[in-house]
Amino acid sequence: MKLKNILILTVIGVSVAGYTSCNYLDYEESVGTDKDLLYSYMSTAEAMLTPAYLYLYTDFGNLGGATLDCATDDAMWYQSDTDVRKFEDGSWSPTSTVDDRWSTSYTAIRVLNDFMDTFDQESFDRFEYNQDYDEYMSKFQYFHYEARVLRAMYLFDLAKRYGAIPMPLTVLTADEANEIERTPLADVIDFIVSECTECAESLPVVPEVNDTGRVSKGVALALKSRALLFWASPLCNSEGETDRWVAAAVAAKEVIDMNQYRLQPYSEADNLNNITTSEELIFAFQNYIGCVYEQRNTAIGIDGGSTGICPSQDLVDAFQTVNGYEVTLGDRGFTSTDTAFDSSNPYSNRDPRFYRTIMYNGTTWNTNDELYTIETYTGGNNAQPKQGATTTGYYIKKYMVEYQRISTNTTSLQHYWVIFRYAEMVLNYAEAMYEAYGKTGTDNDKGLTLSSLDAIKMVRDRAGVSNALLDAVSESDFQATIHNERRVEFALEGMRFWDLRRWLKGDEFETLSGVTITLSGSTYSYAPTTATTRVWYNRMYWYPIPQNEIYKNSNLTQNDNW
Amino acid sequence: MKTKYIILTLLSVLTFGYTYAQVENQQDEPQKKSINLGLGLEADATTTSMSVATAQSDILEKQSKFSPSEALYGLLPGLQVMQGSGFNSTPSLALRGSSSLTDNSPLVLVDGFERNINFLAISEIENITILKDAAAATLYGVQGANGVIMITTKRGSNQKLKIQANYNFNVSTPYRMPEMADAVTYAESYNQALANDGIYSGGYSDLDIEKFATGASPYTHPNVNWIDEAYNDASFEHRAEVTAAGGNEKVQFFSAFNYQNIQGLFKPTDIDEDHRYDSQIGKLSLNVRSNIDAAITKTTKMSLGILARITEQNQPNDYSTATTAIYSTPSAAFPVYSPNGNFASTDYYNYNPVALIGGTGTDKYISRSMLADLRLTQDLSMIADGLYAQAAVAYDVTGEIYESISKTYAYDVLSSNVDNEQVWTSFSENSKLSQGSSANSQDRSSSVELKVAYDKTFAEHDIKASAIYRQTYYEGMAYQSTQKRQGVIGYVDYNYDNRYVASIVANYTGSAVMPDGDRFIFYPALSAGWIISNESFMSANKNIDLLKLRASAGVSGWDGIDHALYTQYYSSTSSYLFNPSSIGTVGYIEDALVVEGLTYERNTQANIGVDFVAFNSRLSVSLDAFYEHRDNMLVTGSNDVSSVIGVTVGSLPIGEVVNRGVEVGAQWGDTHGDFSYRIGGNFSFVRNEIIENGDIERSEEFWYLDQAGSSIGARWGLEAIGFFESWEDIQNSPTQNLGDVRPGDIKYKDQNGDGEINQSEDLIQYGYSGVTPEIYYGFNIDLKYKRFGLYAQFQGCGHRDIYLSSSSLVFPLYNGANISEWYLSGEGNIPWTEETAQIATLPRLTTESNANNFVSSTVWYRNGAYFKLRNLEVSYDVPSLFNNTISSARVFVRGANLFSLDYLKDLDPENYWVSYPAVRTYSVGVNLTF
Repeated sequence: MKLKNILILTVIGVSVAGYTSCNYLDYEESVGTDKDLLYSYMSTAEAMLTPAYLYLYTDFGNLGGATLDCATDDAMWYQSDTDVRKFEDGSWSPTSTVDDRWSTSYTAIRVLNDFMDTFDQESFDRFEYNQDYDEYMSKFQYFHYEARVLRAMYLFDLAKRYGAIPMPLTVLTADEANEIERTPLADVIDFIVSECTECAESLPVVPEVNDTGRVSKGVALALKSRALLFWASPLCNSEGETDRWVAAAVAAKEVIDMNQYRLQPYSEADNLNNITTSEELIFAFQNYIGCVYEQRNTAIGIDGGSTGICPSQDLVDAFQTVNGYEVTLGDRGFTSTDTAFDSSNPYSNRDPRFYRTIMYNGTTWNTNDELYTIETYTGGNNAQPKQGATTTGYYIKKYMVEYQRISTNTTSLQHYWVIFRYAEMVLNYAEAMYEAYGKTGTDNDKGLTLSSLDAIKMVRDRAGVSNALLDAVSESDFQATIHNERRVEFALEGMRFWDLRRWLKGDEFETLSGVTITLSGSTYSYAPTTATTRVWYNRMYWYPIPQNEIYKNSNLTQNDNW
Repeated sequence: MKTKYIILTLLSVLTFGYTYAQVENQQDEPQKKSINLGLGLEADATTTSMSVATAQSDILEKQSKFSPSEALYGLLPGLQVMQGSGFNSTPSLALRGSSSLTDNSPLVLVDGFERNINFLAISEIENITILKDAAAATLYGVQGANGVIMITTKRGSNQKLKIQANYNFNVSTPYRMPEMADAVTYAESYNQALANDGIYSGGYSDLDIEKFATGASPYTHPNVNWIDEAYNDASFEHRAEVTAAGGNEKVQFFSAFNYQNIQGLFKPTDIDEDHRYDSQIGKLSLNVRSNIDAAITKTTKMSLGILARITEQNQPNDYSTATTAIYSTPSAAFPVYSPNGNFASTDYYNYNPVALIGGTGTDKYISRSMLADLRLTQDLSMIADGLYAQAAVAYDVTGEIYESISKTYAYDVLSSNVDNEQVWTSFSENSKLSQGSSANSQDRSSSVELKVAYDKTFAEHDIKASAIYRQTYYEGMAYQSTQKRQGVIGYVDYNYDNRYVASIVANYTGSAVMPDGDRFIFYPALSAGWIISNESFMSANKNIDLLKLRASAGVSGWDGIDHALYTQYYSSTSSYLFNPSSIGTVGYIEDALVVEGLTYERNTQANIGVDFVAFNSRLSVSLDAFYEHRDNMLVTGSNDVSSVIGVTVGSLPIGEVVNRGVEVGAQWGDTHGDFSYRIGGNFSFVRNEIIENGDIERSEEFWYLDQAGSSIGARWGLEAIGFFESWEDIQNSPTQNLGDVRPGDIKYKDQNGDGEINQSEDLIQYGYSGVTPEIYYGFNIDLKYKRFGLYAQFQGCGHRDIYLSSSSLVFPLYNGANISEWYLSGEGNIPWTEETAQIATLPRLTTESNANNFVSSTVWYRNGAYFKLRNLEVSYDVPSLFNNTISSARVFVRGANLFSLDYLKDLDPENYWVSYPAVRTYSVGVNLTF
């Protein structure tokens, strides 16, 4: 018996010794990878730059479905419970931020600083005999410059919101992050411009076919143009320094002179929804978005659709007739001095861009294998008093893709958010030239051979709207022409929110009108309505810095009046 | 290095034990009530110096639910049991309130191994013990900080075979289901809301309202009570159990077979034409247990426990949407069916609540578990008298398969056609059923315990010493779920003449979540007691059976953190398309920065108590006071470092909370002839205080917002001071920067007096936590007269506050939402109108989002205290039947959740939102003993 027991104990003892080796606890569960390991392969080293692209700004409905355009006089979000409300009712504050790009942008900037710190030191010579060495190196030669331009882009994203900003150019420690001061806006803009100028030299004019989404020379120059135009604008240029406008014009002209991009007729290519064939595209965020955008914004009354972005009557009024005449909606309905304009049929014969931007009463739209006619007259299928119908009488068409099946969401549709397209460069040029040299002035010494008027005509020609009346526009009225041209060309593409700020026209945000369409018999009558009103304070030209950031870093000062 | 420590600790404990083994003394002890401490350790209930409380099976079995935690409401001092929400939910358990910022759940051990309490059926359980103080917590080292709940299952005995068969039939009815407005009330409220908003179009005409009232146009002017359409008045469940226990000198066994089938309250579940996929919510559970104890040799004992468990749960495929939609869809919105017989809806709502229940298919969750443990005890008295060794292993597997059978449904929408006529147009489609399944979980755990112990009594000295090696392993399917621990535990229990008692616990444990070098940690605990009643000077007092003073102090830990927080990693991101026609490529980005100074959460606690038993054990009282200091908890680091750093900042191990409280439990019982009774009660008060939780460091003027000093989960919000009476009132008041305001909106107090009110600067702490009440109490009455029995179990709590935020109940009308009777008239509510301005209790109705009114504020705060009758049983013992084939039988009726006294009245204070209703359960049943 005793022996047996001792045997049992021995067996237990031995199995314990076997089972419980001393490294039992040397176990770790993580899907993370060590940085050194990532830089030891060319494929993963390449992937270290990729995240910087993922943070690029896109706006298919960042504010709970609403876009920044829903905070302008171009559109509104149909209901008031999303974040965009904060732009409207004054509840926007340092403790209640909206469109807060602060931490996102700094995340991207850290990715880039970290990337440059390591990648620039890395020599890939050891892979020389790898089969794909040349292929990788042909990309890698640009990576440093891509990174710098992307960093400049994120800095500009911050600067246009917050003005002077902390500008970290290295990977920060916690202490450094808590002590960094705001770099004056002038220095930030200078830095962006010099980075773009330098990097443009080294970046490819035409990206490799598999890398059309990467930063190229055009992107660097386009960013420089946008930044310089911003810097020249009244928001930043209170003294009205003409030099800044000249610099902006030169920068825009640089892109034009690349002769790389072209304002294609719409019949040739779609500059938004089918960017692969667009010669106008400079840079886009190229990720799959799906058809959520269509489901949110295709009119209610269509299976699978609902109401989202409601374009305003103000925006509709910005579209001239195809012959170039103004149309306005007043108490007596639509009026225009264009003799070809039929006030009982006010949506026909308009600037062709109108039909790419707005769904109005009578628009036909094909989705779910069915052709729908949008009815926005009172009692119509897509109109008030139906619950949840458009509050302005219009629906959005920009970026919307037809021939989907939104009722069951089985689409594999792709959307790309266009960041820079050539038309912007031309209109940047037009605006800068006008402010510096007037409507028809040029400056051949600086290579500014086109006048503002010439540039405007280029854009309108492509759109197919008549330029006949432009020559007669007075010198002083021409600014309004330029501003309206930007509004129409980039309607609902996220441009106006920033343009109105640049031009110090915040009060334009205050009211937003819509249309009430009444059907009696077979004739429609149109009456303007006030769709919504908004609060505007001049402090809103700049975003407030999040309050917690100021708590954490006492060297940060808040923007004025927030 | 660790191995060295393990060996040293083992050796020292062994030596300690062996030294005492030299002195021999043999003395037969009377049968003692022992408390299972796990690890094969037991303490004597009468003499232990630890703070413990136990509920025995006879009490637990007096209620009709399957899950043991349902039986624990208010039963044990210091154990807070809070009702869950949703279908067949199980309560949550906490010991001594809340002291953790991270995880407060106690360690639940079944027969000594970590297991889910809800895996067991009540009839398998012998007793449930809570181990509250440091002495027990320290035994479990890095798992012990939240206290321990120990469940011991029944085992056989060497007596006559005893077979028991029980059957319960339960009927559950919804308890305090919120009522929603009918179509007329909805339409009138909507019109009122529009008027309040200053909107004079839209709305319902008098003719509309008349049509709603008469019901003459059910398709254009419906009046649907969605709750009636969705829910039956009652649901049924069956529970059947057979247990058998018996054995002889060598082998004893206990076997149990438990079956339960619960069906839910949904009404429209068989819409599917072939009835194949009934979507009724329901759960079927089957437990089979077998516990065997055997003497393998004269000195070797084996204990085996096996539990096999299968559950199958069913619910509508779109369950969560459905349970919300039932409440949020107005009666006036659309009829249930269109004239074509299809579901009706509108293009605004896009759904039909009835269709969501019966027309979307079903979800099935099929779970299978096998829990097994084996413990071998070897008497080693041939080496030294009182010496024995024990080895135990446990291996548990649980897997859950999720099966989804889903479909879409067609619905008809009333809309105008080209000729402007109202016609029903079909939207969406009746799709074919689509089936998919996936593994939800696959959990494996295993444990090994090895012990050498020495139990010996000599003269007045009674000594129990153990040295234990323990190793646990758990692996789930989820990332970061693996747990591995290893450690040695030394335990010495010393009793001098039943007058002075002490226990020493030493624990040296490591967990795989820590880096090598910082992994192993030492925790000590000491408890001591003085049993005054056994002193000679007390022997004259015949009334006092037991008077014991006890005190304990010790340290334990918590290791519930992610692995590798100490290593800087990069992780893959989503992919990016560098060419629209190519496939995306992933990137790699820096993870959160490492945690500096990572260590285990630490709980330092002290407990003092008195146990008092008197009058021939008719009275027993036990009193405890405790203090816990919890620190090293991981809290967010993001409030410490500016976001300009551009990366998620590592957590900081600086979280610190102090928790203190008192508990008292008392019982009085007596017998007078045919009548016997027992009344028991307990009360606890706990309060925690946050010392540090990673809150941001504010500038001086905002120090009143600091969370330090408040308690975990305390309610913060704006302080309402009435409603705006007029536009002038709005003009003359501080600006409320929350959203547009109109008369009738909530007026808030400007806490910092800066003339502006915003949601982050004008907050106050206005209430207690809704999760862990500070006051928790219970009492129960057990009466017996001849063959009749009555048992009632009450439970209540106080210093608990709730915040009403369920949108269709309390934030009505906006966004197509319904309006509840609660808002209009429940609880004495009066919504603001110009006429009711002076007496209003709720803000005006509005059709807009109104960011001003619907934020956390004192308007939506309610006292969450309640007092509930949790279980009631009336029973009758039938004399033996059928010639003693049935030796005894018992019939009973029971009720659960029969009443609640509280401040909400229309809503259950523990289920005050829209979800599957809380239920009241009636049951009848019989227990037969063969």
